[in-house]
Amino acid sequence: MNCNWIKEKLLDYIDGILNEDEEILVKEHLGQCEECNREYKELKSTIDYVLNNTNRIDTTREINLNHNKTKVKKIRRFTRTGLIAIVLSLFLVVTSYGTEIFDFMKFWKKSSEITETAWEKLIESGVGDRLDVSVINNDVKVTAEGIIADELNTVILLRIEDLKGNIRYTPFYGSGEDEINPITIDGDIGIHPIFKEHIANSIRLYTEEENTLRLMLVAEPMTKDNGNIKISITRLIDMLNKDKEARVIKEGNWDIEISARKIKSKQFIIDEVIDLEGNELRIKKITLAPTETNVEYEFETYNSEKKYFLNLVSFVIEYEGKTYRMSTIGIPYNSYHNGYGTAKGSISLETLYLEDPIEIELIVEEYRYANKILTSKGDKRYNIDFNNLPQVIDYNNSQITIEDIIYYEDSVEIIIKEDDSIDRKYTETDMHITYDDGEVITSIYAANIESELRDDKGNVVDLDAILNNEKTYNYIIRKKIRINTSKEEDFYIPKEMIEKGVFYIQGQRYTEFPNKKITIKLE
Amino acid sequence: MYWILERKDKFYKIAWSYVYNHEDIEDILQNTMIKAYEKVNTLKNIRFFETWFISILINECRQILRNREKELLQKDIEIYDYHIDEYNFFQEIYSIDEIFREAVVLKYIVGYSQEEISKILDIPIGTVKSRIYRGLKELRILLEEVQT
Repeated sequence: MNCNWIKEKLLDYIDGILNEDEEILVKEHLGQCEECNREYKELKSTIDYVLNNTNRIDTTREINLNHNKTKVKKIRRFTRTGLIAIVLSLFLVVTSYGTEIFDFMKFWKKSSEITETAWEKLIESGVGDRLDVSVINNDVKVTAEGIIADELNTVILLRIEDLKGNIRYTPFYGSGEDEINPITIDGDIGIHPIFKEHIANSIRLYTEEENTLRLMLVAEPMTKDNGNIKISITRLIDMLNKDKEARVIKEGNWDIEISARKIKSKQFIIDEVIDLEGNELRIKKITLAPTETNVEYEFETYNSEKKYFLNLVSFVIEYEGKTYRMSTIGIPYNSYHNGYGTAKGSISLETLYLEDPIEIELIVEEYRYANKILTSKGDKRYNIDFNNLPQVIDYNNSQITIEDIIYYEDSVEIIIKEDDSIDRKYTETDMHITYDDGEVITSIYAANIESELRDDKGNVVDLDAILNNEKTYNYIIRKKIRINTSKEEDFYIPKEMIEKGVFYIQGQRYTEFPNKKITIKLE
Repeated sequence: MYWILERKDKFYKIAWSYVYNHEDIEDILQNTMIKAYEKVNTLKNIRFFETWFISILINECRQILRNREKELLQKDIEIYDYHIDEYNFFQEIYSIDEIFREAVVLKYIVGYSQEEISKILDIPIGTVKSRIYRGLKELRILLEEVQT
């Protein structure tokens, strides 16, 4: 008897829809063949499991169907980009703390040095290529100094020199109608999976020369093992001018063409699990590439013990006494998740390509969670009397204050203060104001305007704590909802409607530092 | 309307297996009904109304899932204590690859025959069988992982 034939018939056998002859054949075979019998039992028990659990689906809830309702209200959301992906770019961090220029320079010098050291080490070891291709236009010289292309990123180091003055120029995007993409990349480079076009991210690096800026371009991997890349810059601005009005803008055509080779990486399929207070973090794959060490992982977002949703897990690698943190060549990336089910993510850590380890330690340093999924459904609603502020509202045992509403000529700002008790546990509350004019629902989300870095004892610390890799919580102190009231904007709310807005709280975010460690063999 | 309410349980379970939360299921059923009304004259044989209706329903479910991916804003689900069992079961079912999951859900959760599933999903019966088989296998592996 052919086992494959039996396996094909097993489903029908369990259903009881085989004809008599076939049924006897299957039954006899199952009595004799251990393997098929095991297969049968497994299938049967899985089917029984599904059938027995079907009644767990609660179909009794009322459903309102109305066949005359043919028009669904349009929903508009003005979401902060931070919700979509947390790209811990240096500049995002700096601007979000609103630091003085002195602090910024210190921070910038140190992080640039780390990046440049890592880059030099690779180039000197023969990974990637040193280049010297330059173009001069409008008194600015742009030089491609080097390239490291691998299966995860293509990273190009550029140098921008002001030949006549002492200005550090950086590509200038502009805003509104003036917005352009000042730096484009083309050639044998992959397409960005989300934007469906060539994207060149850039990281600005400090140099001692006052007329020079180094720019690290990060693009998708190359599409060929050997190919050509074209870079084109069209507009620059001086980056360190404190006076926004006095900034110098230069237009021109700085085009550079270089050839490059793609370097193979080493990939390891891993199967390791770390328990995070009820959420299992599963490490799936580690890639050692020149530009970064990429770790792919999965976790179930919902923690049924503690009833919260895990959003973000950050970890580092330890190898021979050294800690490898967020990637310094390329964009330090970690996935942020807001939803239920299985979260599949990856994190970019500093490269271990030259070290070529056979065993590493992985340490979960931090994870973040929220008390619910941060989307509009199930948000808690509050009616605010805007003529009678401040108003304190209760949410999840915390007191949130609507402090003020300020009317400007073309906009209105609502200022909200987070809970100010000393033992406050959450780091941030997500909130929005929503307008419903019968056809369109417009939600405007609050942005952070004041925050405080605290250590795990609740003391306020400065940016040095981040540089020293200390555990810091970013506590949001104040938020602002800015609503356009000018008809010239694409989306606006008429001034007389402002006070008809309904205030909602979506949920609150928390941060933990678990310090969990596992050993992973790379073989 | 009566025809839909009579089969509400079935439709609810199908939509549940894609999106889980009640509000989305409600939206999906509403939209499916509107689309069915609009397109009913394109249906050639009234005998196949139910399978035709479900194929629209499944398209709606897939659409909602695609939108979720696009926005990266998954719709909220409120989970109360008494819903944990239901949610765990959803996660188990949802962990099966979509194309295999559809077949398993239609067969064992909703109770359609292989022929009906073949019509709904517009695939040959042999494929229906192999998808159910693969789906059950995947679920089996997951359940074993959970138990050990």
